[in-house]
Amino acid sequence: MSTYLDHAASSPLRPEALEAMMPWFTDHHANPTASHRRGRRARQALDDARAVIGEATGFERGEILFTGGGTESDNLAIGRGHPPGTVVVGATEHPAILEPAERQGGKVAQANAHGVVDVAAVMEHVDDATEVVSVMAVNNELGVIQPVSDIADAVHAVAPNALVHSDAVQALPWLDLAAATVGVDMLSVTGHKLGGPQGVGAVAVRDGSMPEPMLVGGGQERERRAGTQNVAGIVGFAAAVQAAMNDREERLARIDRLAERLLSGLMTSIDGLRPTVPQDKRVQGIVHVLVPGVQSEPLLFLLDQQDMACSAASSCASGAQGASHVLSAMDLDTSGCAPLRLSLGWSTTDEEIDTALRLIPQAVEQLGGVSL
Amino acid sequence: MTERVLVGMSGGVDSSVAAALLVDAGYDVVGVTMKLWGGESDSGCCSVSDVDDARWVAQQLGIEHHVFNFGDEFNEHVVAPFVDTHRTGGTPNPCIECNRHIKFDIFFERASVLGFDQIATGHYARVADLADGTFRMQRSIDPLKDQSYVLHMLGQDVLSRLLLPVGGWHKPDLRGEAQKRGLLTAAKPDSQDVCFITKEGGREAFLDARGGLSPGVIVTEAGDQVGTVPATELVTIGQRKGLNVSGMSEPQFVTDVNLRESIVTIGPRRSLRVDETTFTQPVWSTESFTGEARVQASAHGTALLADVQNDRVTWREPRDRIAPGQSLVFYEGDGNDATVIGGAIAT
Repeated sequence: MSTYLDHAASSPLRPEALEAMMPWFTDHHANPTASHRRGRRARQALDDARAVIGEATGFERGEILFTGGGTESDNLAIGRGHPPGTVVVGATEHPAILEPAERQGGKVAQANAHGVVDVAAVMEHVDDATEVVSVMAVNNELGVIQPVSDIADAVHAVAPNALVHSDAVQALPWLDLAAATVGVDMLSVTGHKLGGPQGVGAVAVRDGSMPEPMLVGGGQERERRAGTQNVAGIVGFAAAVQAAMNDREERLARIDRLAERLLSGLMTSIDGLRPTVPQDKRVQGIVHVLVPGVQSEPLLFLLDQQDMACSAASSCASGAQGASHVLSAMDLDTSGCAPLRLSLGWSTTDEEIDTALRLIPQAVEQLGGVSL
Repeated sequence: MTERVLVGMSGGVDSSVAAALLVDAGYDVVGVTMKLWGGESDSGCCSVSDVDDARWVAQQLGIEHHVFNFGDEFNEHVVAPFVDTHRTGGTPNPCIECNRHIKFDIFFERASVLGFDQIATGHYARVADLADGTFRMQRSIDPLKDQSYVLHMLGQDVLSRLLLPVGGWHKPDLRGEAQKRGLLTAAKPDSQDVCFITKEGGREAFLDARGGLSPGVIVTEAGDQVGTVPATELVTIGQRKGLNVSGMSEPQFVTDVNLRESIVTIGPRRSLRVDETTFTQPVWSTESFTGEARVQASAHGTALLADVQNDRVTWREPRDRIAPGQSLVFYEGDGNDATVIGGAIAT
């Protein structure tokens, strides 16, 4: 049986999403810009989906623009052509934020020892010329929650015209975004971290803050993202988000218990294993640990041989494991330790935790003492 | 139980066929591409497209494919010493150091700890299983492709657990086999160059970016200055081309490189001739050796008869001087049957 603890990379499709999508591949298929009956029905499906994503993020339905996923949402929100020094981003951001910021001569706010980019670190770089600030709501590697609402207030006090964006891709499955991101002007979200299909996301944008388009030629998504929408994907995205809102309380309690069992079990069975960030600062589903005496690559290899999926740092396009820019930014001494991210999600079971608690110590023991 | 083999797949045709032959032979095969160099490259090695090629071939063969990132180790054991050796006036062979420290050390150890019985690569060489129970590196049957020279450092631990499936193939036949099997890499050109040196910039740009290069003067054996070189580090003993000295009565060769004072000495061919070559850091297939052997001083050079002593080789016939830093490889026997006794680095 496969053990899947890589939900933060991509979560399996929820049955609610699959069921909602199916008709849009077959009977209901149409272009939502078409004026005929089927076209109008497809357009309504998009509008219904917009309402769901709006409710989940605390934005109006008209402020939701559908995109091809989190990276596209992030790129769109950062925008292009900002003068050097006027874009400020956190050091632990996803490359989809870091790279566009770097290309425009943006500034980088450092993280503290817990991996959190706090208000003071951001404000060091903000002045009245600042145009865009981007700090993620939950870090994708560590699972730490960042004070984006406080950051938005502080930025707006100094730079009233600056737009504050937050990559909420990893936050959507866990946080009540409407409450956690008050004051934020733009939010990026995606479906496949909580049981929606891959390749669909959205950027929520407060009215009047519309970014420059990246794709033009068709006028879709308020002329910010031209091209026929992925209707089935968007319907599946909304269905997954709706399901996540419906079972939020029960799901978070269950995953909190599973994650706690996983972490305490690993700390008991592996000498010196420790959580990378304080447990009260992270979301329920991401358990990031440092495993002493081994390296990530062979550890992941052995777990993979037992059909267990999890991850270490970021994987580059070649499939090679790269060093984590997040851990580097924390200035944390991880020498001699393998970073390991175990991420849980809607489908995680007690049996998977049992298997992980058996396989991980076995693999660590097989690799023990060999510093490769 | 089926033996498990971890095969290094570069994304080239040789290792693709090697993996295919291992699958045919009934091994439980897993393919790995080693990510070694993360910088600029135009040699086609270590790029994302090479990893793609290796993965696609693995998919064709129905085997698992993984990527191991040995970038830090490659920088430490191959790239940094390459720069250092140039700085001290030597001529390094980075492919040998990569085999010594990465492919047949770190990769081999990784395979062991992951529970594999053997490793395999697409090198053109064979492992000879001797009557006394020991193993030796043996030349490939294709003399044009033989790579036993760059694998000379392997000891019994590696040789006893190493499979080289293409060592018994001639390259044209191997390409034919790849085509017959429809492998996606069948027509891919061979990589010939050092993977981290670009064709465009060459060694010059690479070394210049890592600490600069020292302009030098060219002098004759009599001490007369007859020219200059832009980069003393790039001059190799025995070099004839690119010196731009004219008006000499006979062809001139580099006979000495003094990097400390940035002086390149040139002279006629006869000044290059030596009777012996000293060496350092000898390694042996089994135990240390003295006596008569055939000694090869470059990847595709001729193995010449010589006497090997503790720290020097005495040549039967005088020969051109060997650039310090190059490897000397000692063979027993001649032709395709020759086996490697050991090797060392010329000083």
